[in-house]
Amino acid sequence: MRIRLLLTVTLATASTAGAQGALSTQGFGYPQGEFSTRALGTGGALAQFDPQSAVNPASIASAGDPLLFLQYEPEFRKVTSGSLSSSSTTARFPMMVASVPIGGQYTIGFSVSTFLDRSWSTSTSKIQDVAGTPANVTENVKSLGAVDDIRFIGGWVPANWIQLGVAAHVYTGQNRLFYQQTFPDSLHFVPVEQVSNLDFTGVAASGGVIIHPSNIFALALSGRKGGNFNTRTGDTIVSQAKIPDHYGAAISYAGLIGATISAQVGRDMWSALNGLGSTDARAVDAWDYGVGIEALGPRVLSQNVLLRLGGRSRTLPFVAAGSEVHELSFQGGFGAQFARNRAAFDVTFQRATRSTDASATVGGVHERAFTLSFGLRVRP
Amino acid sequence: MRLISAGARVAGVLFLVAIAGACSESLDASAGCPDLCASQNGLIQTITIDPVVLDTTVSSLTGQGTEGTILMANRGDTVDSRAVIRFDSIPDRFTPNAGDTTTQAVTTADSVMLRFNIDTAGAKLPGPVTIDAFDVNSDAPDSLISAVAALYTPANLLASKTYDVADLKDSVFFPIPGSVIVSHVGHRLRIGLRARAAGSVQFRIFAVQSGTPEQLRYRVSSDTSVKAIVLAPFSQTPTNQAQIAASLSDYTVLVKGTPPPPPDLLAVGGLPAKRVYMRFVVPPFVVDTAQIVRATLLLTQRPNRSVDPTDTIRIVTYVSLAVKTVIDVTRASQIITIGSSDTAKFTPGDSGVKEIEIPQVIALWHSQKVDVTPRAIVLASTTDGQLALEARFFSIEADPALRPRLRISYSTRKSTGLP
Repeated sequence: MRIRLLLTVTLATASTAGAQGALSTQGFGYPQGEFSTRALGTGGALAQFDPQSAVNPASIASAGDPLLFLQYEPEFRKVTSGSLSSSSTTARFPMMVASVPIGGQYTIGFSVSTFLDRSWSTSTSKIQDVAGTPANVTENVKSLGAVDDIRFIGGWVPANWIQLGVAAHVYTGQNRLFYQQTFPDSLHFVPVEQVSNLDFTGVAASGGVIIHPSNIFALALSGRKGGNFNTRTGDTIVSQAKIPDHYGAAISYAGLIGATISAQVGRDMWSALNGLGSTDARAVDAWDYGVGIEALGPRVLSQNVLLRLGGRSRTLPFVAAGSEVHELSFQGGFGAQFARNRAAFDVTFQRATRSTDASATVGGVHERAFTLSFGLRVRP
Repeated sequence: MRLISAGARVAGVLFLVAIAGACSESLDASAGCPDLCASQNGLIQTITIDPVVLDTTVSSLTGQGTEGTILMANRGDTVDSRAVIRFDSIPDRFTPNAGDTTTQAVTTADSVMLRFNIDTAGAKLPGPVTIDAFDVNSDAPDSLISAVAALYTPANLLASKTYDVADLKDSVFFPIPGSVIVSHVGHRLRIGLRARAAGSVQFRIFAVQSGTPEQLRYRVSSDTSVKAIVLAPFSQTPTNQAQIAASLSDYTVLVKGTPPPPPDLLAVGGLPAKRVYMRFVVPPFVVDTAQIVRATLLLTQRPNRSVDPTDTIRIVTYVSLAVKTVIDVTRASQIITIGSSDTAKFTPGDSGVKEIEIPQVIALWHSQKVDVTPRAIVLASTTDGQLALEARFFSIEADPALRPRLRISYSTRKSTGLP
């Protein structure tokens, strides 16, 4: 047997899975922010104070009662490029929190939240020359999975004016990438099908403080220090990086009757993820700003209803075709307690637009998303 | 309050609709491509190798009488093919009416008609065609074709009929004198058919194996209320092998076949039927790891202008399942399974490099253990033993540029899932 002749390579492209298609799902995916439905309704401004959000471990100290919180958050997204558009629906369960007070001053808790959601699919067709025959090749690529943040939290209230909290984070999860090349001529060509599994392992630690200098003001500070973050295929470590550090601060003013105005700022050092993927999956450090109001609304079915409004601006972690992706969103929502106030149901609507600094370089692609967030809190 | 309550209900319904709608995920974001999908395309590489280590022409050996159609050909100096249809049990008695408990002896027969169905695919009908029927009853061994062929003599002629070309389609009715039946009652009647015309003639009749067997029909009474006797082909020999006997109920008598191919060439088709056995040794990565997109067997055809050089012969690819202990390649070429759902078309008189797509063959090889089952394919005509068409190819004994080759296109994409 002799290998006699090597013919030409018909197509030259990289073998990484950078086929995300949407601005928000570049790189390792979209960070939802680990906000609860309530905090999301205020543009994230309440997140530092909210025991149902996975931002500031000190917030859990104010929970008071045992708490179980579940969240469902579907997103309806539309990606537009010139005259082309594609719509998608992503069903997410981004948050679960459970906490139990111990004594009068301590609370311990546990949360699982989505850190980066990498769910997308694309389908493209093109003519390729395969062994001298032009073939209409359709490539279907689909990614499912996420990196999840599992927190073990401890909160302490040493005095009425201060709350402290620490948390240990374990980052885990899996991305499954389905790749398929199909050909209309099934007699002459065999489709290519590949499934790649990527497992994640990472650790981090966080701490926070909430200070109440007066009855109407509250100030929150929190930070997370990232540890090692690995990707694995089977037992083999594929790449290594660090969990991004995070710093955040928020202020809340409750001087208005029945209303609380809050604002938050966050800094995510996403560039720590560089090296985890290919050079195409470049991450950039990003700011996150939010402002919102939560106010007492009308009574419905003999229950007080809380109304929320908010706005948020942030930069997403991964660049799209070399350009940073910005997200501007506006939120509105409401929440009410029922079952003798042992349960609460929150709903938030979010409208977001995502674009890049240099839209021309990415073909004028922009993205709009409508997110519904449903949160159910139970005090067993 | 009533208004608020109604609004709450509407909101509740909307929530449920939204939740239900979001339960079915649709993740498509293709509109962002190619701007945001620059690296999704896979790499397809093509190599051409010389993996054939053994190739040879072998007899199809499908078994006498197992053909689906019987070739009736009278091609002058090239092909002479005839048919034998056996009715090894001509009844000597009949039951006049259903329910009768007595039978009567067959003493007369009229309206004797042999019916057979014509396959005109590949037919050569230059003009009116005469079909002769002979009495080819013999005690010679079934496989002794020459003994049977020797019985097609004027002395054994039972009947003849000339048909216009337009009549040689679908069902053909061939009349036989009643005396032939009467003289064979209680015995066997073996009818040999031969076609002749002013020029070269060729057509096929459907055999028992096709499911549309020939039929012998005649009346044994002038009383029309007595049902006609209808006989299907039947062979009593060999007496101890029912399956072979069933095959021999009708079969082809190949008096003269196509000329044998030169020894350094591979031949598919022809008469007697031939097929090609090819054994491969391929690089392990081709079978074990590479994701094959396309696999093409490249054969260099040498023209064969002996019979119908411009007609089309269809070649189908099989994978040999014979294990290493089967050292007879003729036998190995019978232990096969379909290797390609496609058939390759060839013109016998053509030349040059021809392609046979065999991507499924590689997939089958992947499931075989090479140290148990040699990787081999068999090329055979779809009209194996039924038409004289024969395609010829250069073997591995030929000049390197003319030898069989294998062209493989495969995906080299090895994704870890990293973005």
